[in-house]
Amino acid sequence: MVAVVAVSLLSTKKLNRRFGGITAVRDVDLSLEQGEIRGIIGPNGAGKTSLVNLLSGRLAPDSGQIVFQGIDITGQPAWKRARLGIAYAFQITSIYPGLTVFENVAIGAQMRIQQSSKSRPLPDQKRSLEEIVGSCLRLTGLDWSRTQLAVELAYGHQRLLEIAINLAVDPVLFILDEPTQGLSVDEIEEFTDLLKRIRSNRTIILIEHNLPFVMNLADRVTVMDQGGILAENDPKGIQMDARVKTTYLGE
Amino acid sequence: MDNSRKRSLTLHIGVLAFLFLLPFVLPDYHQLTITRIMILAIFALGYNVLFGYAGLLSLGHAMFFACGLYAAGLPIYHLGWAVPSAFLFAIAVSALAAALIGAIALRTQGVAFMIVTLMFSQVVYLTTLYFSDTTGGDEGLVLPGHARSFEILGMQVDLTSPQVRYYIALGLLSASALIVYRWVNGGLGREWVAVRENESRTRMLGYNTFLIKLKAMVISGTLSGSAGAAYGLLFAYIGSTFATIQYSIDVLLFTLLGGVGTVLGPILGSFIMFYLIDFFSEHTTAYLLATGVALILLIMYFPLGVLGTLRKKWLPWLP
Repeated sequence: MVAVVAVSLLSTKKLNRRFGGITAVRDVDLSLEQGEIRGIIGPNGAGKTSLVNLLSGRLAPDSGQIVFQGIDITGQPAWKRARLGIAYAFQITSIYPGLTVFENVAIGAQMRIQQSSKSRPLPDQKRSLEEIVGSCLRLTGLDWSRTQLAVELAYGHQRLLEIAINLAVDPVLFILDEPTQGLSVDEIEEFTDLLKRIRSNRTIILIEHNLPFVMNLADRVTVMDQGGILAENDPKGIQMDARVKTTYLGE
Repeated sequence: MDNSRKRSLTLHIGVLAFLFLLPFVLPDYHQLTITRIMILAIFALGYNVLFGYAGLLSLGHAMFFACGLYAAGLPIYHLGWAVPSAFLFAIAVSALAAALIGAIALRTQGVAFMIVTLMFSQVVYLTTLYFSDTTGGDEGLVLPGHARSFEILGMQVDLTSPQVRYYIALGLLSASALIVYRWVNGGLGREWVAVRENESRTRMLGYNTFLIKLKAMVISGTLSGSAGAAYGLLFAYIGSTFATIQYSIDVLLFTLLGGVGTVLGPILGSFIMFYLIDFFSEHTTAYLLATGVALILLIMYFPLGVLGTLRKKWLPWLP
């Protein structure tokens, strides 16, 4: 077990969470490598969002263990996990609607600066709040909107803004819960490019219903069904898997 | 960015300079009134830190005002303390009370938070009545003669002089306004606004939102308490009326009227509201009706208050 902890960025052991009589997450053993993009797919109610809520700390598990970068974070509150570098983009866009785009991203950047004195120093070119916000807005293509109120942005841009806010804290593990939901085909294409640009040394979890999108981006795909892990493989292997075909891909 | 900051700083200093020059042209009666208003404006400034910036609606802020009032007045009355040490003591006690009550009340949210703060405030009010042997209860206590003047840095300060009281109140108001201005325009202000606008998003970015709210509570309670202490010391009277819910509602009204989440709003709101009530009470005994009608009109037509509306329409640089 010690060996597993040493090579993986994040691992869970026998993770369980019930809601009343329903087991949302059942005995999940998940292990993520540093730098991979992991797709998590599965039918509605399979436990995908519950699982990442357990990882990010929005939910507490009934039993099991979560280890991130060698630290047992099972009992830690969400904000402490975020400080360790776990970022979360909500399924339902969660931004600061009443603030300007700049202020939205500045809230993330301020956390990054507060955290920088410790083990993760800031790169030289990103010393100030202004610089961090600027680079995140350029990366997400929102630079033109910095003085606009977030509430006035189009839906697709609001989703990008949430990505920008999270990028400002420079996360180690970035969890995206259905990022392409509600986006147009063109926007999904741009989004794919964006993820390729921001992945560099980051680990990303993608929860998705849009299979072509996941299969295109992910290094490995985990298929969930009824709270448990049904299969885990590279995208090709998943598409060939007979069990996955019957329960999820519907063939 | 920089330009707007300069403009807003100029405006704030302008307002304070205007208040500085006012007594030269004002008759005594209005000088006294404005002294009162300025102290209440400190109360409103403190209230606004919690309500306007951190987004927490407290219905019990009279407890902090009363806490400062009694913590300053009682040691003077019973133990013969000097004015400056009583004032500092009151600030410390208010900060402690705000931290303790905050640690409990902040476990709740929204309506529950309103009710819990209201409840704590009633506890404070009833406590002042219960111990009326010490506190003077409803009738209150008039502070003794030795509390009407004090010496500081070799200077004798006479608290019976209207001018002296006016400038002490103005000094305290300026200091409070500048402190609040600095805080809300800095990192802490950004954290408060982030919690107000979207707490779960803020938590998921790594902020300890409970601690952020507790800081707002402590700063807010301390400012409110120092306003209470100043009120008691300047006018040499402490009484349990200041702990009643009416003071909690008044400060909410001042803030709403002037503009939630602006530094000058609560100051402006205190002035308008105080003179409005003053005006109505000359003509009718139902002056509380004015308060009620003002509240309803505000919420229906100007939910952002005077300065909030101005900021939205014409002056986006207003802090």
